Amino acid sequence: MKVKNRIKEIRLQKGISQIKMAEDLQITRQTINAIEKHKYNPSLELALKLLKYLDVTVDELFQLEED
Amino acid sequence: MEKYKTLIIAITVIGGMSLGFSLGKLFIPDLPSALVAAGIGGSIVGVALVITIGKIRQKQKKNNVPDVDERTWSNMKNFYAISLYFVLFGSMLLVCILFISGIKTIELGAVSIYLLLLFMLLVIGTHIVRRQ
Repeated sequence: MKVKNRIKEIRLQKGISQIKMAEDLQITRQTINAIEKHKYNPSLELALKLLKYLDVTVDELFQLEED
Repeated sequence: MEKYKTLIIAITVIGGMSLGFSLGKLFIPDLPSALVAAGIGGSIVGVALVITIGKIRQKQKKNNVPDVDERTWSNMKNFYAISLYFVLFGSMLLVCILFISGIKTIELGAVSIYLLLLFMLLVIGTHIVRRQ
């Protein structure tokens, strides 16, 4: 089962750039890119930081894709 | 603590190298003093060079984005785990090939060069993985 996220969609809705988000969350731009492209699943800590930063719930940001 | 991190690392590296060379001189009295001095001097110059390059890069950075994060560490851990198998099996294979070729002893100099090559490959690999 793959974890899908709506980070890119929500980020663009809020008008936040990758660089701004990387600076605010203290992660690299490559990591944001990898998460948005579903190539990397963030740690629980980073996932919670993302939820707080984008002000959304877990269900709004992450979905478990059935096989 | 974060403020003195660079200083602590520098003191540890230079102190460690100096201690190592001093102990070397103590155990092997025939070891030339110039070699010990060169070793200690080299470690000081090396540390100073790395710190200076780091500071210059820090100043040239236009944003506050970190160089490494959790994904970088995870990538590096995976890289070292895979490298370990290559190093272990590669070394074993090399020993087998040398043994089959009829070589029964290896000079310490050759082992040193082999280890140096391994370290160089690991450092290059780490840099590539860090940038991904």
